[in-house]
Amino acid sequence: MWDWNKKKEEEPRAAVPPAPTPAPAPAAPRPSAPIQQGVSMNPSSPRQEPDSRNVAAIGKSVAVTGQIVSKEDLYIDGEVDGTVELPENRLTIGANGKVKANVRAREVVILGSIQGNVEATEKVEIRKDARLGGDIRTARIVIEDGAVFKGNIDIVRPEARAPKAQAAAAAPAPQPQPAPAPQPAQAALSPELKR
Amino acid sequence: MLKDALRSIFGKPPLAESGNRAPAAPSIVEKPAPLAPPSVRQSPGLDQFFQSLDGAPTRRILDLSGASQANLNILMEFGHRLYCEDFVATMERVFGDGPEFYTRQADPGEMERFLEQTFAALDGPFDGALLWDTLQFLDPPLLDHAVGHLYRLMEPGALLWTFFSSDDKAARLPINSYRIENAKAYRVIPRTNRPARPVHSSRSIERMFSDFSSVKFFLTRDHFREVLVRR
Repeated sequence: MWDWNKKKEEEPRAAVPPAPTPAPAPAAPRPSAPIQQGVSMNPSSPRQEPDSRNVAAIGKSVAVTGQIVSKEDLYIDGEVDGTVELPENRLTIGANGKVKANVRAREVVILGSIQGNVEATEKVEIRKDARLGGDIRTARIVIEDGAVFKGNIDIVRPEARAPKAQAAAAAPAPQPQPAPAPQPAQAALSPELKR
Repeated sequence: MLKDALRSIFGKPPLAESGNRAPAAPSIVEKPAPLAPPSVRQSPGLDQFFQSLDGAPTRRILDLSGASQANLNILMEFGHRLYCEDFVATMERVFGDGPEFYTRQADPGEMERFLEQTFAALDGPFDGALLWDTLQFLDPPLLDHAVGHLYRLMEPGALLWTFFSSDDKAARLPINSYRIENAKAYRVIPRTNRPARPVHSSRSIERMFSDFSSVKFFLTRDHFREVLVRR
């Protein structure tokens, strides 16, 4: 029989984000499945409600260098140096998270620190005590008092994005760019685990 | 006990337990002044600043009060791009928040570090700048450098809004957070305070912005010199 407590003892550094709490407390949804080695990918999960969806996580004792591409929500409580892309999902940088990367996601919630540009198609939230140095490009932004931000804010209104989307739909399919390395169909992670 | 109570009523320190007087604190250690409650201040200068932006296409605004939801909301209502920088917080980080705050500003290395941290990342030109009261915390040599950087970063014709305390009797200057309430008023939220510096007269403010094309002063009921400067 599976002994969850024993498993946790064997993996003291497993990255399990804190349980979710409603706003304004840091919202880090609890993954529905055990996460191993600080990184978990569940490519088959459709987008669900925040309290039940699966979340990939990088724990606070994990450092990653490289490109992160995910098609599910991601919680970073460790260190990331590189780029992070979740075009259709939510990225949460936990209170312990230290990210040096350009970030692109549907929604970005920052509780820790990030050095780099942030682009979100829907919303950026910078919570109390969070630190962000870089430019923000998003449709909506929430900044709590006590957050430290230095950089440009560029609000992209939905109507401003619509013509681009229409033009993209009307345009012929772009030629595929040669990629340095093949990526898995659903999610790709190329970390260099330092610890 | 009674003596201590009486002494506290008159703002004097209590006697030591032995019955001797407590050693007097050195005169240079000042008791921090109590912070004033938040208040809303009407601003004709801010009103005119926003009027100049009204109806204009998307513009780039520099806000030196740091990022806040209130300021973002109103600036984004105008459809502007915004660059946020907490000028005073950067000063405190570089020069410290103790009594050395002003003396360290005279150090060329520290001065260079502050200018680098504040202005190097600013990607101008800007079409408007909300400086609030940040300039009055700079020592004259550093102030000249900062104004020079602002001149370089502003688009010709751009407006720069700032204000200075004119209360030459105040022993301390409050350091506030500012939240724009509407185009004509902003909320003042005291954070801390610092020993006052010599106030800037109208003449010295004109000299400060001598490279700019015009300087317009606004009369206020409070002890402030509100200024709108055109690049």
